[in-house]
Amino acid sequence: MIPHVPGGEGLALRITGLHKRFGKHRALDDLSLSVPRGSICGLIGPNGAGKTTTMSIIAGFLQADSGTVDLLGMGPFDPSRHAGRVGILPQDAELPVASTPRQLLTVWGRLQGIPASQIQAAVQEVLALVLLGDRADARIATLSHGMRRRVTVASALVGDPAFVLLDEPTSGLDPAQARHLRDALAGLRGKTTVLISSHNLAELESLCDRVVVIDHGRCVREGDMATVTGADREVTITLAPPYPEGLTTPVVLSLDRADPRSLPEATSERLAELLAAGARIQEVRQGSSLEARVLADTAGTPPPTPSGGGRR
Amino acid sequence: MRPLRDIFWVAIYELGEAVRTRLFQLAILAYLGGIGFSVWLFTEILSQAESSLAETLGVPATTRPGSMLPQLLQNGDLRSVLAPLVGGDDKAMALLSQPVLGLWVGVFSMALLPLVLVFTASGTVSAEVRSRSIRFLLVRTGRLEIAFGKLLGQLFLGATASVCGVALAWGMGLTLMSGNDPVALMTTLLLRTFWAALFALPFLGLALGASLLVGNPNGARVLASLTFFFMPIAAAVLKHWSGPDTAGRICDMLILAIPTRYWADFWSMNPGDLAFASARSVLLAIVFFAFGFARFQRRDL
Repeated sequence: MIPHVPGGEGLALRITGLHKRFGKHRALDDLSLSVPRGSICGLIGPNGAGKTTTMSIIAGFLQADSGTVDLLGMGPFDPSRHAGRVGILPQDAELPVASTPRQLLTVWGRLQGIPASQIQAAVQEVLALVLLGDRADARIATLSHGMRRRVTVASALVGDPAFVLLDEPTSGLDPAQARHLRDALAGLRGKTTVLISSHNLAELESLCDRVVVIDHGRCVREGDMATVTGADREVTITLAPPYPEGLTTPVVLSLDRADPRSLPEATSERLAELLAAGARIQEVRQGSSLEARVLADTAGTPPPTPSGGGRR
Repeated sequence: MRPLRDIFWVAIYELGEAVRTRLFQLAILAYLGGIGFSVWLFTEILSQAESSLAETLGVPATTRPGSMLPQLLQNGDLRSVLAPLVGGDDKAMALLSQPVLGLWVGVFSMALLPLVLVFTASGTVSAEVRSRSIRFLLVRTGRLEIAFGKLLGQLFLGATASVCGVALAWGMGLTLMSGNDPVALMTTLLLRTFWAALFALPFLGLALGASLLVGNPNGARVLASLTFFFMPIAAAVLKHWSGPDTAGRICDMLILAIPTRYWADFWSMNPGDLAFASARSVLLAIVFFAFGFARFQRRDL
């Protein structure tokens, strides 16, 4: 049973018992998860785990077989209620190539309710955010893959929606652009709820304050990033050889909930003990990497069926 | 008001895309090419008929066709050409009080406008479903607004083509022919194009319905085109099978849904008949559109 964030009124998204099949393939199997308002949440899982299907159901592209979705406290996605409040970067939607970013964003922005007096400023702001201010009037056909990706990111962010779904947002971006986008997304923390699906776990670990791990259409882990990675209760100390007698590396310090000490206190005490025993410290790491946790959570799972994967 | 606003913006988006991909220009040029050809063909036929008549009467042939039109109308040759196109000799007789060029262009408009709309509308939604670019719209407005916005965009495209066709035919008619009253010709062209547009409505509904029904633009085009071209055959087959038994009655009902069989009704001079034909056209368009939308509304996109 996956523990849920208490106090549903603070949630931007609550999914309960979601099921979705594509023919014989079970894409989602009793998926339940929640995302607090104002958080940046990572949606993680192997290929075919159901990430894109989940996002598509949240945005109303796909219809669930059963289960409930409560988006922004207004029930499942309904454009009459959610238009302008939800932005999405679909994983593989192609942009109309004959148009320019400004033309597309202007019409889409007007469609989602941005007033005529504000639309040009809103479009300019979001294009500047994705570093495309100077290509605003270039035809999409002339833009590189990375630039097109940034246009779709801009389309998700135009008009300051309350909830943003991003499916592989940094895919195809060069490192500098990816970092700029991560910084821009980090700036949304507290104001906008962001749900990001990505295979770049290091990126999610640095950006997200919450994480949901799904596998075979089920949620296998959900919680704050610090809790999931153990950064709030676990320290791994790697020793350099030669090791003092009776010690092996790494030394894992796991703080019990009943322990009255803080993690820095416990770590300092353990380090002092190790140094006193003659150990040489090579590295001290707080918690495990997100990658290690996810691999542990999804280890031993069979490969996804061919009908699964990211084309949903 | 929000649904109406959304429909307007989807239509703007649709037209913007059509203009930028040159589909809009291509469709209008194709229609204008057909209308221009029809006027040229008419003047050629008229020119030959007038040359023959001049030879028979022993008078010099005219340089611009049209000056002997009254004589040609009297001897019944033009009426016999027009009669099968408008659904009978009586209708042709009654219609010939109007400029013949206007009637001739009306025949071509009724044939071309459905063809152009089937070509442009059948790919409009299905192409976006295929490329998934429709998802950029789905997160911003409802599926009904998207479908109606696409319909509005196609209606505007059809209206633009029609108006341009009237202007071209009028200009060519006055330039290439003599004896045309500019006001009477314009009035006839506008009226005939209006009826042609109403006749074309079910075909627009059919093409858009196919586009809403099938998620592949090629599939939607094939479905719409096959339906369009096989309608007359289907009508003949259904008529052959019609009868008093259950299967025959079903055939009788299916015949009612074939818009090509209402061609002649739009050539009636009776306002009541025209109003009934128009209402039936609108109803058929709604039925075809609704059939496709029923699937579009529920499907995964």
